Amino acid sequence: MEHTVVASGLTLHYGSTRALEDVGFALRPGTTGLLGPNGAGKTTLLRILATALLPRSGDLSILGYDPATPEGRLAVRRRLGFLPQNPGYYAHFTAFDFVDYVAILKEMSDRASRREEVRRVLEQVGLTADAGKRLRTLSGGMRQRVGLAAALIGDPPLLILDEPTVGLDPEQRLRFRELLAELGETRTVLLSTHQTEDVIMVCQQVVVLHQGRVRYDGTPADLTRLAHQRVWLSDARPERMLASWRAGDGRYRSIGDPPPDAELVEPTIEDGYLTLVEAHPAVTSR
Amino acid sequence: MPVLLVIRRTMDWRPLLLAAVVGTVIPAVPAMAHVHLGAADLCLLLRLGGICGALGAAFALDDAAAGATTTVPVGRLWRTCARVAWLTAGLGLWWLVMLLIAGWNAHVSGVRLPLGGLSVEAAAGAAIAVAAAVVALRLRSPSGGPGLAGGVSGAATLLGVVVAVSLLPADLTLVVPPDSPRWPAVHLVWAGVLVAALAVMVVASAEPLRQRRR
Amino acid sequence: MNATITSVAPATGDLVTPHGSAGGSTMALARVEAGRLLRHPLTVIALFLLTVYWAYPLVTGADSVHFAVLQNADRATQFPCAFLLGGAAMIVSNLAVLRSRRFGTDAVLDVATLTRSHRTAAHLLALVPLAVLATALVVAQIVAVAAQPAAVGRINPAELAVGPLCVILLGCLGVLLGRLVPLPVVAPLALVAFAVVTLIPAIPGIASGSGPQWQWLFPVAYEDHNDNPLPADLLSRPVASHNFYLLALILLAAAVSLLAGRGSAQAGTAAVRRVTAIVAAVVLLGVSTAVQIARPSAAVLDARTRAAQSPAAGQVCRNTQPWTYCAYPDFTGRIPHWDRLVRAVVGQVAPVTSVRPLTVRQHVRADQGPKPITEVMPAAPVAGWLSDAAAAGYPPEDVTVGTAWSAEAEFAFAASVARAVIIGGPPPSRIDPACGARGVVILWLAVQASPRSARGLAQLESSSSAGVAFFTGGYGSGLVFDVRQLEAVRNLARIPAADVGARMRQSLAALTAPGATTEDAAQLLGAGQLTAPSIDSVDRC
Repeated sequence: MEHTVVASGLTLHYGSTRALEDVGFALRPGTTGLLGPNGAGKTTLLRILATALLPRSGDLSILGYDPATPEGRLAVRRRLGFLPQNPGYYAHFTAFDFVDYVAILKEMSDRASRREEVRRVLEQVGLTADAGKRLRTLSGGMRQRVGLAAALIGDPPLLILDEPTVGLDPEQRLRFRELLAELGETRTVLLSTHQTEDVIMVCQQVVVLHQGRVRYDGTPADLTRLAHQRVWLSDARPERMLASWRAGDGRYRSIGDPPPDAELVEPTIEDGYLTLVEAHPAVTSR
Repeated sequence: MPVLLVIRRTMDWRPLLLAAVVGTVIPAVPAMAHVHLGAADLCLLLRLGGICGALGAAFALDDAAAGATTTVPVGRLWRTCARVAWLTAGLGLWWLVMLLIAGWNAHVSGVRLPLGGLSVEAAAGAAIAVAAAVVALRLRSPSGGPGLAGGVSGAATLLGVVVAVSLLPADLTLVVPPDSPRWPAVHLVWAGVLVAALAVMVVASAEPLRQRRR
Repeated sequence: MNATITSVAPATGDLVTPHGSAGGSTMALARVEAGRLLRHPLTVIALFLLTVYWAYPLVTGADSVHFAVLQNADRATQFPCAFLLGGAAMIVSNLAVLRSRRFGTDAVLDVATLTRSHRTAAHLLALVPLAVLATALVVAQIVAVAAQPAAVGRINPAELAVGPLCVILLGCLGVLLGRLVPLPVVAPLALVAFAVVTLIPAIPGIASGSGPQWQWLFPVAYEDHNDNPLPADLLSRPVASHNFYLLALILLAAAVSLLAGRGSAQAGTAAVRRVTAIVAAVVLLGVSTAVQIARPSAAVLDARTRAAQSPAAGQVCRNTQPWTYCAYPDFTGRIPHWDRLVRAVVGQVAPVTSVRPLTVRQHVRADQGPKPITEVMPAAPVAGWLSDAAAAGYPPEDVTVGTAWSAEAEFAFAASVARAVIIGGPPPSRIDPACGARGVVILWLAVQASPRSARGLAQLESSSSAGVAFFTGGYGSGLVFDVRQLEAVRNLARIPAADVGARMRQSLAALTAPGATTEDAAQLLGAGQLTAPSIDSVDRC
């Protein structure tokens, strides 16, 4: 399939802080996970892709449009669903009114078709029964779903979701993954998350961002494989490991070169991610 | 004490500052222009200035980070009390300046102003605004969300009271000129309003005993 | 999550739902914002207060509405409409503009297809329905007032437009302030400042009758002649250019708020259009300001002087056998009411046909223009009026009457008529004491004329400490009664009016004789012993 998003050499500095440095990757229709520690530049990258920020340099093509031009930006925005990190919500609006408001901002001027679309996306996130409730009376997870519904308005071919599973309980997260999997069948979905299980469950591609640079771009399976033969279980705390922690059963799980008296175990995607991130210990960014 | 200091830093002083500036300008302009005004007009200016201060006070309780502090060990009542204490200190200082300006105006125009009674009116107005803000924050701010409903509700309530009082028929009015024989009686009413508003503030600040229905 | 997540329609790679144009979406957003503006509790309360404020005197039949002077009533709609509805528009639209900032939805709105300027435009357009509602309320109020049988004068539609225009202007200022200062406290403070500024011309000594008319720089131009309404032709209110002035302010506020703030870097044509709008607004502002603050024309000042000093030529006279009434053209509607009062007063004294014909002429102190009356009222130029009437071929007037009407004015008129019947001679140019027995008769006749007249005397008594006086048409001319005369009439009120009337007609000659005292009148009419202290100079003529 064709690439829908192609980025190369994206660079953005906030003063002397390098938020992004020479970031490049390409996305196809399907679901891509963006992983990275806090401060890695995930939110900055997603805001650039959502046309809320312009990079200082680099090339970007989104759905064939160049967001650096006003026309291109408008064309991208017409085809974009964006759930920012802290979307905010109007406490005194009902869920329906809020999503309807966003639909108008997405240029749906025809009232009848707009209301139909609002009902559709509210149903998609399972909020039909709560559509008439004011947002201040909804729980955090429900509000998160209202934000998601607003992003789904207009059935956009590109969805950018910044930590969409924050505040969802395990059951809601499961339903959300089902929804993401369906959306990713034909659309390009990019989500940032700290939940590595989200990635392994639904993503075909994963990009790891660390210190403003792309450290990994590939399949989740390959990310897991980075920790192949490097994850160990031992009774005593081993020395000089990339990471080591005491698991629930009282044994130590460690990543790195083989420690003495340790047992080799199958890595998870989280082990692969930690291998990658811990290999580049945080330095104070200049 | 550290709690008091921390709470002072969580307060947004900009609305109060802005309101104080506007409120000061109202009586200060005639003071600087040396306009001779009657006692009734000077009272009106001080009253309008007082309304500005009360509007600013209403917004001083809003807290964008209210969601993060609902469970701190310092109770809601004490948090409100600390905020109101800071607010009272700020407003009190400003009102002293206002009284000085009003005194100067009265001196220039050669009239006497009943500053005590006017202060009671201003305090009652501020208390109405703050009490309404406290009630609104209690009822309307979402759990875990920003506490932003207070200022708007407080200001709206105060303006509503001002308009309603100004529409009262002449024999019931609570805004009387300084030479009115009803001055003492009216100011007993204002003092009552002040006490009632303070009581509402305390009741609305108490920690809920049962979980409110979402 | 109890609802199931349904399957997703396959994306075609492009837009699934139909997208409208930016203009259409701006209108859709404006509709939503207008609905929220109209449903906001502050707007609802303001609409309720305004309706009650206007409906209450209509329902209770208050004199201020019953005897409305329409060229004053149209102007009286402005401040309540501007302050209540405009205030609500300012605060609510300011909150609407600040909504995304207060609740942190800027991140979503920043990538919306509709730009910030489109959203600003929607907030501005959302004011229109409220302004339409304000217009409907204003028109309904003035129509109801004009429908009162005793209402006189002319409505100027341009005056009615000021209130609704102020609603839009204050709403635009709310939007502008929201784009400039992200603090919601600003709008209520601006509203208080608006009230203060609007009341400045009400301060005595600020407004000027003939100099530059600075009061027109304020959205609602305060001009007070409710005590002595002027005929519409003498008003010289440049309200049509004031409407253009308000339009220019609206245009300016709207254009600046569209330009204000980030995110407005747009295609060149839009920016050019906005700058053009600002330039046009500034030009319109300059022209309308120059026109509206100009001092009243010499023609108007002349007409005012003529209306005050030699009104006969410009007045309309009606004869209702045997009496003649002359009024300014706007006020001829009052003549039937005057006639009823004259007949009520004269009928108590003698059969109507046996009384010599009286002439009633209306006067107003028009030469000072729209200035609140603060100084001591001057004497009435009665001698000039009499020669003016003679020159115009009319009989000399016996009674003068002002342009304002209220219970107190009705008492004053009835007492003036009684004075003409009992004492005769030209109307007083100053406040004359209605001395002795004659005063008692005049007072009693005036109180008998109508219930409203009796109420007027009661109102005068409650607002004065010793005796009562009344003035006419802004001049210090009229009669004063002392406490003993008032006591006598109070006592007479306990006796059937027919009995008092019969006694009065019986001893009319004795009652009206020079030298008859208040005490004499009390005895002749049956008012009993008077307890109030006697003042010799007033007790006897």
